Amino acid sequence: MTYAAIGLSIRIGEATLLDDISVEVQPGEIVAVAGPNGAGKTTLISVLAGDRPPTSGAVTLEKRALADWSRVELARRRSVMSTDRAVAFAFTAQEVALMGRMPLHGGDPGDVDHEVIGEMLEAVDCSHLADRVYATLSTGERQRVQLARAIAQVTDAEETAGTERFLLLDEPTSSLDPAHQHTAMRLIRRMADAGRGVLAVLHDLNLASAYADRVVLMGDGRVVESGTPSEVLRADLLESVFDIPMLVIPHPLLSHPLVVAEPHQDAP
Amino acid sequence: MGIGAVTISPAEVLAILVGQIGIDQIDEYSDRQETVLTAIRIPRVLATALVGAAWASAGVAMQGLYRTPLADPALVGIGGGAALGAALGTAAAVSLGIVAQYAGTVLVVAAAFVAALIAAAIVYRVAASSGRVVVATMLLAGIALTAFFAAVTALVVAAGRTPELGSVAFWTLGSFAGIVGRDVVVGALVVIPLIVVLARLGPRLDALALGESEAGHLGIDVRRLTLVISAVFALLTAVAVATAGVIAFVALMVPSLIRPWVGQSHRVVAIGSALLGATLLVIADVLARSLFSPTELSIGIITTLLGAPFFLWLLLHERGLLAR
Repeated sequence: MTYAAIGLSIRIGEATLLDDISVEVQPGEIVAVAGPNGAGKTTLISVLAGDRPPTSGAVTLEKRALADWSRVELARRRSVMSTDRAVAFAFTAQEVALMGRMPLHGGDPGDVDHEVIGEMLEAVDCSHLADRVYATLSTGERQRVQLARAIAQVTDAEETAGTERFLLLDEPTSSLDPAHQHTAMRLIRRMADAGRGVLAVLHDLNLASAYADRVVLMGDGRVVESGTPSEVLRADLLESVFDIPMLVIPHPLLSHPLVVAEPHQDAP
Repeated sequence: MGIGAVTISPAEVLAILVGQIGIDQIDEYSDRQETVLTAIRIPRVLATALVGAAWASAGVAMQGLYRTPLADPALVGIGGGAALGAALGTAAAVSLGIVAQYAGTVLVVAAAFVAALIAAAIVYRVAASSGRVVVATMLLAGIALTAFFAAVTALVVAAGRTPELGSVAFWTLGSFAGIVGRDVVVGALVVIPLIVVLARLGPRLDALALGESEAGHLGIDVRRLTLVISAVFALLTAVAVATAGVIAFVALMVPSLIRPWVGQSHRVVAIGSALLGATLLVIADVLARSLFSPTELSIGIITTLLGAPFFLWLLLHERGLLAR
């Protein structure tokens, strides 16, 4: 019962965007994907989402290839939050979030759909923006509305056991202020604890450290290391991948590691 | 219905109408007035309403697919393509001797549809790159296509040398002067079902506002939706053009006028635009035939007088639309 990529490669001419990547997401866990710009994180998300076929390798959901799922069936099992957050026309924030329910209601949203959307907008602290025109919202507000939309797509009014669902999130917190970063990550954690499998591209290594069960560190289209945050967030590994001095220290209050880039050059 | 070269008062209109169903002489009217009303004015008003609804809903379809309020099939060359197709279809119908029959009308609409589809495919091919439509490129492609199709249509009209082909002004500016009952029947059979189809596809067009891959993530077959919606606006454009030539700016204006009132839902916008488009074009046609009566203006002159400033206003107030 997993969302799995096995041996994914994407080659365009001479360029190799992804090189033999294998990743698995189990229900209940958050897998953070980290790595420098151009490492192939967004390409990985688009292949996992089924947007582009890999040159070699396969993506499977519950051991069935993505292509063998009907579009609507797949949409009910996994949602995708991409980095493109533009929405045409003057739809309100609530209408945009409600579009996430499309695969469940097929065009005529009912009470359940409105109820779920109400809860999700509340959870991302956007209830007060529900009737605002989405295009007039700030970047961070749009990001929260899109997160609400993505989660609502894989949420039932009453949680039904036995049907695993997955969230693929490309930088869900990149434009959020610290408080809303944690609001969003706590919500994602809660959704994972309720049985969803989450794969999230995160640039903030400390968010990955604090909330993820596993971290996949990517560099140059390859998986450099994957494992628990404390296994992967090591100074030597991070320095080689990000090409900048890194300081990794135990969080003074919590159990996970704390990562600081480019410490003072004179530091001992 | 009373306004035009032959004046018929509202009371006379009513008298003629009830006279048709056997109630005689509630008011005096002449045979000439009766013929003008039943054979010319009524078909003309109905055809004008249908064509207005067709252009407006074609605008909703195209704007939804291209995710911009700046799309109008008449402005981006799809109307021009349909006009060329309709002119070629008319020439074919004349040579087959079926021009004044249902078969002829259907042939003209079909030829206009094929040409509109080809034009729509060219516009999409030029304007869309990796799933995103560049609005400025779409409008620029439209300039070239419109000019090209108008030139070829002029050639066809000149080479055809038959009165049935009409004039270049008919195809490029539009007119309801030659409407017969047949046009109304064919128009209604095509336009009304297409508006229903469009309204049913409304929620999918809403989701498409998120972007093409995002709509795909919601379980929508975007490729198929693109083909179906393109066929819908090409056929609506084809019927409108085959009936009354290219009438610009109705498709552009009407959806943008209705959205502030009814919201963005494509289902509601489609139905509202069809009704408003029908109403606006009937009013525009009354103006076209009464302003300089008994001389008639091309109806496209009226819609362009309103629509061109509206288009510039849209560009000024929503500069962001082109930047995407």
